[in-house]
Amino acid sequence: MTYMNRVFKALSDPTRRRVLQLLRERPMTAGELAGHFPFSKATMSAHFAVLKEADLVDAEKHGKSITYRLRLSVLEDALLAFADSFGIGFPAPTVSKSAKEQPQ
Amino acid sequence: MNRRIEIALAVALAELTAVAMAMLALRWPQIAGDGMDPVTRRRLLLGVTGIVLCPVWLAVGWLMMRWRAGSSRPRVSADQLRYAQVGLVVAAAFLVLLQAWHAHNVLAGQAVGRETMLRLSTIFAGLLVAVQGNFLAKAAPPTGERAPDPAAWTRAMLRIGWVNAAIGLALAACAVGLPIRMLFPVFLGSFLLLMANSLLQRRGLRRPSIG
Repeated sequence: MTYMNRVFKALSDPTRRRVLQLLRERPMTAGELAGHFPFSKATMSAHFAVLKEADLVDAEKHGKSITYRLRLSVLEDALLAFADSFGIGFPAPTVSKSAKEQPQ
Repeated sequence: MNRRIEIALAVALAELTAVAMAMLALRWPQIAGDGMDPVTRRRLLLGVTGIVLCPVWLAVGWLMMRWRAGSSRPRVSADQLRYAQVGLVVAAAFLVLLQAWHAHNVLAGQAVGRETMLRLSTIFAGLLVAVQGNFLAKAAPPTGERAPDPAAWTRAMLRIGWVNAAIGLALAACAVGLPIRMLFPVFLGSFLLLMANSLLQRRGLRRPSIG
């Protein structure tokens, strides 16, 4: 997959775009970021992996936690704003925390 | 600094200096002599000065980069240094071409392709500014003593990057469409805007946060 394809794929999901908006405020750990979403850790890890693969975030390991930092070019920032303005994409099917925690 | 980049810059600097010295040796007797009308003398002097300044620009850029690479207050990231190095090598290659064209014109006493070269130089400068601006916030923030807050730094670099990309593209478009006599004021205005924006954003990084 080419670099731009990876960027388009990463920016096509609203959850991943929200992660990027949160990282605009400050670098955050995976746990802090996950706290803003009703998804399982596995789902969030998959989102982080897509963002990292597209080189939109930088991950740094500190002990047991991973800190993510924004790594956007102007073009990627423009694409992010465009995708946000037009509400492109639907959230990928995910397993929410509450659904996972409910007894069978 | 990367050894291959150092060698490429040293070769470019040596070539630029050799051409500048040769041009001085060839044309200085005419400039200093009496058998030339003032207008032609002034034109020749300007031409030779332009050629002599080419290695000076590169040397200043190279020294500044070495100073930044060696500074630990704050220490620039490897990414930032790599982007700056690539920019300097591209600029060095363009300076070699520009000086060769200029030297040919001074030697031949002509102004062959003067307008084309001026337009190409402005397009090159605009695109270089736009591309560098695009990648500015991609680099990791500086670390060490007096390093700014990483998030504030990234936001400031994004703002500088947006302005640089817009001004760079506008400059390239002006170089294609504007009459040649208007290029210099546009170039100067763009340069001043870029410097002012960069200084303001960087100054903002040094301010202590309130609240």
